[in-house]
Amino acid sequence: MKLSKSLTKNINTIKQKIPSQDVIYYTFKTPNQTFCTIYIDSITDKAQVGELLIRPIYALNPPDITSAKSSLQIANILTVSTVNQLIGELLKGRTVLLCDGCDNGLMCDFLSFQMRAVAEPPTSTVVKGPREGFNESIKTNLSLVRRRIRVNDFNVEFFEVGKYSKTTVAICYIASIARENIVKKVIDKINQINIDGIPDSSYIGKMIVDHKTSLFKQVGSTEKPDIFVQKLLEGRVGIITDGSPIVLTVPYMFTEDFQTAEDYFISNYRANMQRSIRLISIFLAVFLPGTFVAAQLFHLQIIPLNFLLTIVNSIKGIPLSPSFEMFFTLLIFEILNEASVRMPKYVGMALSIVGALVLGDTAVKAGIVSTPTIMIMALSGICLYTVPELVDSMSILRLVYLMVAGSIGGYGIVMLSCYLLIYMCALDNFGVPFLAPYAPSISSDKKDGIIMEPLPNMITRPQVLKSKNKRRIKIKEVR
Amino acid sequence: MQKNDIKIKQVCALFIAFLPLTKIITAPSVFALNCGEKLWQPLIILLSLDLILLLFLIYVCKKNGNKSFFNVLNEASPTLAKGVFFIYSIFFLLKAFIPIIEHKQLIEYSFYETLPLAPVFYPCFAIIFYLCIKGFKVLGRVSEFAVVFTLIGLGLIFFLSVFSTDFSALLPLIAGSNKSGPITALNALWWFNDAIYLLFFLGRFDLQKKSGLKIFASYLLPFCAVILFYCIFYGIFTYVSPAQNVALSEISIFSVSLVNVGRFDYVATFILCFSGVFSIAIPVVCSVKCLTASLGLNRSKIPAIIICLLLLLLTILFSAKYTAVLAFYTKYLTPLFLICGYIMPLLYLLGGKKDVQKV
Repeated sequence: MKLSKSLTKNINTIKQKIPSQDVIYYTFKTPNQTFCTIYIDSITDKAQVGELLIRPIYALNPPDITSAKSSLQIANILTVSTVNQLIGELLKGRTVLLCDGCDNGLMCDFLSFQMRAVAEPPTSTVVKGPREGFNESIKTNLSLVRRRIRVNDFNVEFFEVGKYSKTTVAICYIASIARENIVKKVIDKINQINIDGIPDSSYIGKMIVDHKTSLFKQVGSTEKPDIFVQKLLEGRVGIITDGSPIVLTVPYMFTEDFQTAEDYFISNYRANMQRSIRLISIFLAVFLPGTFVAAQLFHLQIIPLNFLLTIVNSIKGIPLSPSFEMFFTLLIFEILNEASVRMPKYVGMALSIVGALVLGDTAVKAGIVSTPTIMIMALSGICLYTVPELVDSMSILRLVYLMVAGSIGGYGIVMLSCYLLIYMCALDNFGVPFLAPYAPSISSDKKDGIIMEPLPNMITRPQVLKSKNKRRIKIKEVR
Repeated sequence: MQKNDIKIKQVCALFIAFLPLTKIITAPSVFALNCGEKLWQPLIILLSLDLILLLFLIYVCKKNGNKSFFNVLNEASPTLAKGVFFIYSIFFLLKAFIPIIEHKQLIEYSFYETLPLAPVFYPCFAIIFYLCIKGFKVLGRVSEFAVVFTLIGLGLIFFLSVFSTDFSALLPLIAGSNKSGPITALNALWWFNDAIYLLFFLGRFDLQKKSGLKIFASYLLPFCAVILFYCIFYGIFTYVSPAQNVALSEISIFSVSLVNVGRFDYVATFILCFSGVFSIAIPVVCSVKCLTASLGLNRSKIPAIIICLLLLLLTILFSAKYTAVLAFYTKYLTPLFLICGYIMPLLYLLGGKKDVQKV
């Protein structure tokens, strides 16, 4: 539907299409003409509308929209000629200028949102290294990325996702590095999304993965621009969603979560130690409760004699079976964990006291649970948080292992591990094996695996990503 | 058949990770019973046979441009291909059965004394079925992980047992040869003959420089570890070796260090059980693949269900009668294992020309 030459008719049409009361229609007259600016109150910078749009129009007194466009000194100014286009742009937050007697209008960008400042993200703090983090504005986020990649083949493609939310989603990649079929697949998957709204990037993440019911995450995520850029430089494709501080990267591999940005800023010996600790911690977190229960119930021989005597003394008089006791303690831990996240901060202290003293100490003294069980549960709980990205999947696995170990013992743990290994080995996302660079084994990629080599030795990008440009370091011998 | 879904590294890892595990549970006591202190002699015979087969397969693979066995037979005669693959399906089914019973015995004997074993062991078939559906590609990837567990497990077992061994209990290599060695070797084919797996991997990996050498070394080294295991086993238990039915559980119990650190060998056995599940699954996967090919199916789900259910049924019926099963194998199945394992691979020579696409 084309715009009419009558200003009143156009205004009425827009009012009919958008009956919302926060749409402002400001009609003003110059000596020669009648103009109307239309904008959404909550997302427009009104001072800028007055200073950069209305005041110059008053001063220059243009007879029509074409003259107004040439006389205004505003960047990113566009002409609209249809009602649908006008409404679409208006809802995105643009300001529209209409003129009586003209069948077109102008669109200017005076968008203004309330947003957080760029700050260090709480989920990935570092001792050494950049402290900037993404926020909820896609423009700010892109500016943080642009500051770090200054090449002409850094591509950003915008998409509008969500039937009602019309959320802006940006796909970022470096054209000379990223593999074309991965970029194409991501674009296709995003185009296929048909959903009411996208409140957070995790929605995008869940919609684009191949295995939608998988226990393991299949999309990388970060809140830090330095990590994001590093992943783009390896040949991955990034997805930035408006309204979310968490950006996504694909393809994702399991080892990524054991790597932190700080590993590359510190000595590689220290980094190796930290990565190994993370891996061991995850193993302890998942296997320790189940193994302890299996050992108590079925395989007492596995426990050294002195430790066995300690356990025997501490479980004397405990009314619950070892598996139920561990399950009960795990349940309490998960409840405390959930409550501490949801509870207002000013009652946090009370929660700690109740958790540590009442539930922990008193339960042991009352003979409901044993000390080794509390210790093992606490250790497992702490270990899990060494890799925060894996908490979701690993806490469920811990529970499953506990149930299997309590039912059929150590061989159950072995079989479940076999199943998991087959499952993880079979998992591919965006054509990249989930357990690479270990299964399949890729020697050059292992340089940045659980054990990392010094940075100058990582000459090639991850081979598993099959990037266009394979080499990332060219060392010139300096004499 | 899919090309390049398994890598040469994975073939090597597969031999290293899984070759020793089916041979170190009950076979050592059977060897000790038949050959006594000369139990290494049949091992040398079996090693020689396997290495000849392996070298033959590497040679014809290079000569024929790494065509798959099925393609070679199919080019000669589609009916022949289907028939041969059906026979191999039965062959692998029978080859899988003994290790499965052994694995069950290992679990029963080592870990569970009070619990009824059925709910503990039988879920293992679900894992095998899952692996059968996923196929060789996943098996290859799994082997890259499992090789670490096998090396750790075997390393621990050797470390805990080698100091209690009296190697003088074994005879010198040359002395005391008689017929018991070859006869024992002939009656133990179902535990060995793992080189045959390579026949079914042909055409699935890219031949590279020194691939043959790598495969040869990765077969020879774990086999040497098996020979060492048998020697240690006999060196520890000497004339009472035949009475130690589950060698893997028994071999390290005399270690002094266990007094201080608890049954550490138990952990090693658990670790080896982890790799063991995959090692008993390999012949089942091969059986499923052969049945799928012989029936001309695209997906292996139905053959996997058939084979796994059949094995489950056989295990439920006969696992308690292990000695009788062994006697049956010895009496009736030796020719089948000899023909399928060492003679039928010669059919690969039918494919005389190199794969044109490959060239």
